[in-house]
Amino acid sequence: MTKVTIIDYGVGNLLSLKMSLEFLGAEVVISRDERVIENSSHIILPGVGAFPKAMEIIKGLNLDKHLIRAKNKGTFILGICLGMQLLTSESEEFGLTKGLNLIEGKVLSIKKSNNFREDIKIPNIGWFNMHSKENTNVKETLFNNITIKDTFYFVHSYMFGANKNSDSVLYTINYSGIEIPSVVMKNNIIGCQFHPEISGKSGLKFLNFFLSIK
Amino acid sequence: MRKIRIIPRLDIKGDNLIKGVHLEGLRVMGEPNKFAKQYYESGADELIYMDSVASLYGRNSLKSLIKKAIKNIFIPITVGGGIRSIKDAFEILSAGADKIAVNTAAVKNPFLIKELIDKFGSQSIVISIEAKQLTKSDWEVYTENGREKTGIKVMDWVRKCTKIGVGEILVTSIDRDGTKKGFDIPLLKEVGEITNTPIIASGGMGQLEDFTELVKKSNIDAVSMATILHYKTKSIKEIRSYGLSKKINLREFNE
Repeated sequence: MTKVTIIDYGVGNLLSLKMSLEFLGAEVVISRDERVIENSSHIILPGVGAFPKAMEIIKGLNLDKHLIRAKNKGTFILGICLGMQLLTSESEEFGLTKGLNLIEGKVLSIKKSNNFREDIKIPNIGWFNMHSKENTNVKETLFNNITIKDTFYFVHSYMFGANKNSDSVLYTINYSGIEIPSVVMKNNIIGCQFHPEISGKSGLKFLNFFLSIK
Repeated sequence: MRKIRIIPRLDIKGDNLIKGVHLEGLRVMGEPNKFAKQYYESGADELIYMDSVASLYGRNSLKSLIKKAIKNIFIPITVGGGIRSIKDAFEILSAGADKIAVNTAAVKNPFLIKELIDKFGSQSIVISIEAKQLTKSDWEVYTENGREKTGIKVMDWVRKCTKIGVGEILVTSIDRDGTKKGFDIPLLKEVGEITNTPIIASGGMGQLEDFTELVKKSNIDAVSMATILHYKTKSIKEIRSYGLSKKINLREFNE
């Protein structure tokens, strides 16, 4: 049975996430405690809301230090939605703010993306199929079991803006002509822009992959 | 192209799923979560739970219902009815809701909307607008679950909420709710023309053609329905497959 720690920093609906993980048979702890984080094999960083405020809270609780230490230990960390964005180098939301820098990349407004048109609605809300990027740097094959038939629920206004050559992007979605990275991965650090806990069976499948990584 | 979302709406009174007409009167349909689970399993894209007697009791009473629902329903849930403050919103979101819908409290104090957005993110905040036709080209905003006139024009309110930065706008036609006479397309078309915020349309679905007609004639992003599903006139699978057959862009649900 995999034990997973959901980082509690007062942001986001943690209960749905806990329920979906327990549904999959995981043992779930919601915590911000240094020792709990240190002893975790799997950590999830959730998040809904604004980047700068979240980083402020995370730093105030020293969670940035604990997460960096966990990364260096080889703990598997999954960032969900804003959580994924927080893993990156920096975000443009409400001015430039530094992130945890666990995955190289910058977060920008969807409005600032290359193919944005005025008629495209923000936030991007809805279900998408994901397109896989052939990424030879990725050793982990588990996530390759996501097929084009799987659909995932997105609700966001900001996106991971990796450049074309980014080796951390595993999957993207096509939002009215804008290519948005939806799953990123760098060694033991994973990010998903969608909400796996509310993406039906496909989401449960994705969470199960995360729980199975050793 | 956007994939249109199919969103069953559950009006709750106490422990029961109910359904009214023009947002009033009620018929007890049964256990809410039983219906919700069935909708989830048939491919609903999201669910909306509305506490229809919240204003009578001065609060939203759906917390324990939502906590139970999320044990085995894994799609987004929006909860509304009687949410008046940051504290109310926090409790509902902590109980497992992904988004909260506000109407009365927002109309009385639009500043609350900004506060909610700042605290929880625009993605979590849905403005619920109950619209009743006033003149041929105007609709009026109602509050208190369709009981109170406000004198505010729907289009003005939509513009204001868009400016404040809400994540989504839910528009319910009081005139069409529960009637199965089809959606108020002029209302929804106009809303779609004046805002670029995602729109959920509600009120009046009676047959499959209503769904496709609405999507083709307006800019809405999601369709909410209650009567047609709760009375089992049509199923979500039928709606989805009909929509796909008419080339509407919908999630393909294969389970």
